[in-house]
Amino acid sequence: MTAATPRHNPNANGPKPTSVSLGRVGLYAFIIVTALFFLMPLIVMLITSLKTMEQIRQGSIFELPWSLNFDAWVKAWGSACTGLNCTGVKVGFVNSFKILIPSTILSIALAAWTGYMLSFWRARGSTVIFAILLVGAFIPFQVFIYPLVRVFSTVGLFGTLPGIILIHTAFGLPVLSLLFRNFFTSLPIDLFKAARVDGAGIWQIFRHIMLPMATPMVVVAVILQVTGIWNDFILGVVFAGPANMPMTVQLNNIVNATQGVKEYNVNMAATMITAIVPLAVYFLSGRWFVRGIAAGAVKG
Amino acid sequence: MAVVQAKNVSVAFGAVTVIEALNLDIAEGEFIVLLGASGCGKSTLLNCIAGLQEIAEGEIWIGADNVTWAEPKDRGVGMVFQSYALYPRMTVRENLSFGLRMSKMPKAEIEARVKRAVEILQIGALLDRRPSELSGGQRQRVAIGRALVRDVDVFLFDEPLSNLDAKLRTELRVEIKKLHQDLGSTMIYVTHDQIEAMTLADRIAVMNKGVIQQFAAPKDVYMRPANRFVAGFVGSPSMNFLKAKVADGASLEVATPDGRRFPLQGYATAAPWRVGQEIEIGIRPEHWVVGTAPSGAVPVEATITVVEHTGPEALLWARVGDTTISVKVADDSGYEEGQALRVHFLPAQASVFDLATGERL
Ligand SMILES: Nc1ncnc2c1ncn2[C@@H]1O[C@H](COP(=O)(O)OP(=O)(O)OP(=O)(O)O)[C@@H](O)[C@H]1O
Ligand SMILES: [Mg+2]
Repeated sequence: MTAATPRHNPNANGPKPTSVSLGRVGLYAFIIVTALFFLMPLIVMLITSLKTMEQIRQGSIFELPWSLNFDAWVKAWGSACTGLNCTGVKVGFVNSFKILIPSTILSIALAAWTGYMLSFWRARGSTVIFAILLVGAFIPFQVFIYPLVRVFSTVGLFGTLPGIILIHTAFGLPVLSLLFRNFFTSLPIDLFKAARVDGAGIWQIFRHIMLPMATPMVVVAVILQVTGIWNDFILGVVFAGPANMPMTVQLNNIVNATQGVKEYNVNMAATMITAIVPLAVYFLSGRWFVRGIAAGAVKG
Repeated sequence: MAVVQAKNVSVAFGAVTVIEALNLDIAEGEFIVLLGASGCGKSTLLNCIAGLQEIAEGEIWIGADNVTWAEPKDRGVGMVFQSYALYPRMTVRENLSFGLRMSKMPKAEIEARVKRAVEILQIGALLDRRPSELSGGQRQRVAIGRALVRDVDVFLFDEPLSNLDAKLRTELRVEIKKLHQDLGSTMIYVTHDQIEAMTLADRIAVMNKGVIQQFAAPKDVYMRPANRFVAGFVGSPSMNFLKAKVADGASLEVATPDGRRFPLQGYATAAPWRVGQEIEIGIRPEHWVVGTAPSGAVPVEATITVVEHTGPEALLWARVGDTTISVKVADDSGYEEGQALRVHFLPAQASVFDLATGERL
């Protein structure tokens, strides 16, 4: 509820900057070079995926495709070979979604609830749980892999879809719970008190008051989880089992297949397809992120 | 409407005891104001009554029930906060009906109750707005409405008007007073504002460090403060204190450090006086008499140090020995710094405290 603030710094003094100074030029040059540096691989991948193998063998990597040719994309999607079977990345694409969606929903739902309980209710033992979460958030997850493999095989979850979903949920929980806890701690405690006096129960306060206010946090959590789980390789390789291999694993198998000639255009296309989901999240999230924060801003 | 009782209530945060063995007995339909310095435990006490704060010892009774362990929703209390605490993602209508919806009340009944509250508080035009689209005064009205729709027996206000500007504060103060008259509910009201306390309260409870110092009608708290703390805390500018010694207990004769002796004729003593007892005489700034002295008045010689004009009247700050006193005068012309001033006080209007214990004598 602040009054409109002027855009310029009211305390600024000294001469108004001249329109083009040497420093400015240098700054822009730096920004452009940096952008190109990160864009170049993407551009090379995109144009290579549209070329024929013949052109790849002859021309430079920066040469534009002779004609728009989507054969490599079709092959990468449906019939590229990973060792013995030739089904493309589509199986992995579907697998990745089967892992991604339940893991994201489950981990965020649990983390929001945990954060809520840790911030507003402070039940006995909550400091202990908080400490465990902190430790959990900072121990490298590789440490847990072998013990978890043993545990999961004993209970029959090893190499199953529920198994890998559980793994992603568990590994997401510590950081996300802390995120939600910190957010809820920053909300005015009077809201919680008012709701209790109003007669709302523990679940009703969460569902009707706290969760709607946490929209920006949920957006942040979705971004973290979608990109993290989609890009995961090692947990997928270890825990998913051959039938549920996520896309990253399958991409690796295609790109690193040893038989036959290396089909660079197909590899590039497969990589692009795999990267579509995180790319889309990054492109869309900027807007949602800002909107989420603006909508969730607590006023007064 | 309900009797509210705190019996021997103690509250501790970790090792720190914030409220100690507090007793408070509030009659049905009474308007009680809790007054006290920041951090003395007023909000904590209110939270205890609401059921938001666990108490370490003692009991809370509302009506005929011991509610010490009851949930907030089962106590029949409504609470209004300084920060309004409206649910930001809900409209005014949703804010008002939230508690009723959560208790699964039939829709028609909810609507009727919201309608009634809206009429009482005149917030009909705001029903579909979000809290962020309301002014402070409107927000606080909605917050009061939230307690109103629930038909509570006891209203708890925690500095409800502190975030409002002076004009709105006066307006809402009058409205709260009227609300109390119309509903007849028991109300407990925390404030730092002396005028609010004086005008609203049937009785004021003055608190210090978790202990109630005096619990009496505003006039008594003002005219006959029970101890030095209450005397200094209530009233603005604060009461003036002059040190003295008892010279004769029976005739209430006292001796001042400058060697004068005079009897406090007409002072109603609360306790026997001892010869040689060190005391403080408290006189309110507006109780000084300047000019012709009425009979029985005690004269005091002072020197003006600062003259403050406050519009209709003036406030004179003056030195008496090594203490500074404030004197309120109706006619503000003709006073200058450095000028000698003779003022008088009537013992009947003064308060006398024991210097060591601070208790009223
Ligand atoms: N959750 C808490 N944990 C620890 N100490 C607390 C807590 N809440 C309050 N206190 C302490 O208890 C004492 C009383 O606090 P309380 O909020 O009741 O004061 P108050 O009289 O309402 O003050 P104010 O006029 O500033 O609102 C303070 O010293 C405060 O620091
Ligand atoms: Mg308070």
